[in-house]
Amino acid sequence: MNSINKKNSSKKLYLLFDEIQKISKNRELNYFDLKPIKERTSYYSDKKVSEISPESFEMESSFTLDNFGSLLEKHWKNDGSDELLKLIPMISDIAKEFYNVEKQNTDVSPFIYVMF
Amino acid sequence: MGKNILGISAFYHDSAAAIISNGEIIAAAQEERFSRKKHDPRFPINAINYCLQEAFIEPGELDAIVFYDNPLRSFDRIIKNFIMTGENGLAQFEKAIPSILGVKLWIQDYVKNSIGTLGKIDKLLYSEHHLSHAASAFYPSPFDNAAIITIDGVGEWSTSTIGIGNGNKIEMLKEINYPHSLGLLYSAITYYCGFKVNSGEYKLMGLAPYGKPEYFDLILDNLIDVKDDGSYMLNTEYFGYLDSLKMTNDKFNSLFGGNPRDPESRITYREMNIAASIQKVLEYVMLKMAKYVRKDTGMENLVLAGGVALNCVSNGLILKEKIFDNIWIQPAAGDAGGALGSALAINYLYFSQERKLNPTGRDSQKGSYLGPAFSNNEIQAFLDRNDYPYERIENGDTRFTKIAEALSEGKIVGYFGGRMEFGPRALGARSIIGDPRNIETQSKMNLKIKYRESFRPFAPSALAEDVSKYFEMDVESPYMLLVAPVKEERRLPFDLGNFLDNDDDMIRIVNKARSDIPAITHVDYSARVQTVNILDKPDYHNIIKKFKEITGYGVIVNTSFNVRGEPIVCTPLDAYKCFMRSDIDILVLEEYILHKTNQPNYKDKENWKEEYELD
Repeated sequence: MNSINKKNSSKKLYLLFDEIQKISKNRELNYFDLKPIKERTSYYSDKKVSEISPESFEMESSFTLDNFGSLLEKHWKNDGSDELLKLIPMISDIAKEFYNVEKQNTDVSPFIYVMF
Repeated sequence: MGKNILGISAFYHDSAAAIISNGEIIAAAQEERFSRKKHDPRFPINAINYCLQEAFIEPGELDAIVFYDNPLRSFDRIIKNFIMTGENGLAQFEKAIPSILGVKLWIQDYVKNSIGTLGKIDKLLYSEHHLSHAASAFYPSPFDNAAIITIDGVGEWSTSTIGIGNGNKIEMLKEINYPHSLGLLYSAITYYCGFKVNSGEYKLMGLAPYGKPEYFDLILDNLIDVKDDGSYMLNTEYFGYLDSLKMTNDKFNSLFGGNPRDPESRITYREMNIAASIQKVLEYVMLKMAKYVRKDTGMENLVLAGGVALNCVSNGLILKEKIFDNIWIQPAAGDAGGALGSALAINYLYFSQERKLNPTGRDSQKGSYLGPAFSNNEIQAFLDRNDYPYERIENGDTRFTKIAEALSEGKIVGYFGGRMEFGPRALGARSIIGDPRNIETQSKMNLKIKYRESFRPFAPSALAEDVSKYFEMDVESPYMLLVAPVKEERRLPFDLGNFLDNDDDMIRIVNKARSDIPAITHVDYSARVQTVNILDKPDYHNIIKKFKEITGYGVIVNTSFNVRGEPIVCTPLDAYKCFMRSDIDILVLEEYILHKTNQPNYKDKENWKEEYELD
C-alpha cells in the first residue's frame, strides 16, 4: 500500500468510525450489559441451538473479499441488527483497501493485533 | 471410510495446525516452534507443512480443512463493541479494524495460497471457537460421556460455555458472553501486575502463593458479581479492554490504589497480594461452576479446555473437592488446541464418524507427543557437520543411568528425546531437568539457565506409580495440569510470613528449603505435578527410574527447554543453541550426549537475548 492509498484508507476508516458513532448516538442500542444485574439469579444464557448440525460448520458460500458483504448482510438481517446494514458498503470498501494476505516473512505483520 | 482432516488456528495467539486421520490424532504443533517467535499468531504454514508431512498426506487427499473460529461472528462482536463504547474506542478501532479486515477474515485465501486446496469438499469449514475447545477436551478424553466446561478470554461472543459430550456427539448448553469474561478479568490483573497479557497469566498464578488474598472482597464487591451457579458478570466500568489498548483504566487504578506495576520492575507485596486475591476469585468461580455443572448435567466425568483450564491450581482444587469422579484437561487448552478440537469436531459432527475410545482405557492424546522427532542419523549428521564433540551411547540402560548420575551430582541436563510436545508444557521430550533435592536448583535454573524471574516455581516429573509417595495425589497428571500439595511428612517448617515481614527479597524466600524436594516445592507447599507413565514416555520414565535407583527419589525437576521469551526448542539446532547460551551442563540429543566443558567456543551474536521479546 503506497502512501496515497494509505491516506485514503485511513480516511475511509475514520468515516466508518464516524458512521458507527452516529448509530451509537441515534439509537438506544444494547448489544450487551455493561454491569451486573444483581436481581438476576443466573447469568448463564441458553445456547440458541444446542445440537450441532453439519451445516453449522459451513458458510453459505465461500468467504471471500467479493462476497463478504453479502454474508455480513445476511448475518445482520438474521440476528435483527438491521441498523448496521448501512455500514456494509463502507466496510466492504475498506476491506478491499486493507486486504493484506501476504506470504509470511520474518516479522509479525503490524496488521495482526492480538489483544483478543 | 476414515477421513483426513486438517485443523488450523491462527491470528490471535499461538497459531497451530493439527491433522487427524480416521479419528486418530496424527500430528499437532504450534507455529512458534518453527518460526521461533513466541506465541506466533501468524498463519501456521510451517506447522501445516509439518502435519501433512508427518501424516504422509498430500493436500489434495484432505477430506476437509477447518478453521477453529468463525471470523464473521468475531467481526460482528467487534463492530457492536465499538457501537457500545462510542467515541472512546477510537484507538482500539484504529488497530482492530485493519487487523480483521486486512488479514483475519481471509483465512480461506491463506489456505488456498499456501497449500493450493480447500480439501475434497472444496470449501473451508469453520467451527465455533468454544466448540473447538469443547471438542479438544471431550474427544481425546478417555470418557464415553462427560460434562464439558470451556473458559477463555473470548471467542466470537462466548467467554465460558457448558456442554455435554456423549459418544461422538457434543451438545453446547449454556454460555456467558463478552464482555463478561473470567479469562479477561484474570488477564486484566495480569496486566496490572506488570506481566504480559496472553503469556503472563501463568506467572501470576505462580506469584499468588507469596501473597495474601487481601483484595478478594474488593474484587467481588466491585469487579465481578458471581451467582451461586458460578455464572458471573463483570462491571466493565473498571476495564480498558472494551475501548482502549490497555486492559485496565484509571477507575481500576483508583480501586487498587495506584498505577499498574511497570514491567520488569521489582515485585512488591501489593502484586503478591493482588495475585493471591484474583487466584482465589478464579477458584471461587470455578468451584461454583463445577458444582453447578455436576448437578445440572448429572455427569460423573468432567473435561476442560480454554486458556483458563491451564490454571492448574484451580484444576487441582476441583479434583480435591471430588465434585466429579474423573477429570480430563486438554493439554493444549489455549487457542493452539482449537486447531485439534476443530478437526475432531469435523470428524465426528460433520462427517458423523464413529468414535472409538482408546481400548487401554487411557486417553487418545498420545501423551501430547504430537510434534516432530529427529532420528539418530539426522542428529549425528548435524553434530558432525558442525564438529561438535559428543559421546554416543546406543544402549538405553547405560544412557539413562549416565543421565541420572549426572542429575544426582547436581548437573543440569537439557533433554531432547522423541516427538515434541503439543501445548505449552514440556513433558520430557524438550525439557531441562535437574535434581529436586538440591536447594539451589530453583534459583540456578531461573537465573542462570532460563534467565527469568527468581520467584517462579518449577514442576516435578514423578514416576506415575510413585506419585502418592511425594504428593497428596492418587490420580495421574500426565500433562502437568493439576497442582497438589507435597506430602506433609516431607515438609520442613517454613513461615512465609516471617520472610514477608522483613523484606520482599524473593531470592531469600526461594532459597529457603520447604521440603526434602525443595526445588519443586512452592512456598505454599504445592507442586505442579507431571506423572510419567512408562506407556506414554518410556525413555523419560527410565531416566527417573534410574534416578530413583541412585538417590531413592522417583521424582526430578522438569522445566521447558528454552530461555525466557524463546519458544520451546524444536530441532537439534535450537537445542544446541539454548545449551550453549545457558548454564546447562549436559545436552542429550536422543542417543548423543554432549558435555558443555568439551564444546568449542560458541560464536554467538552478542545481543542474542534481544532475539526474544521478554514474555
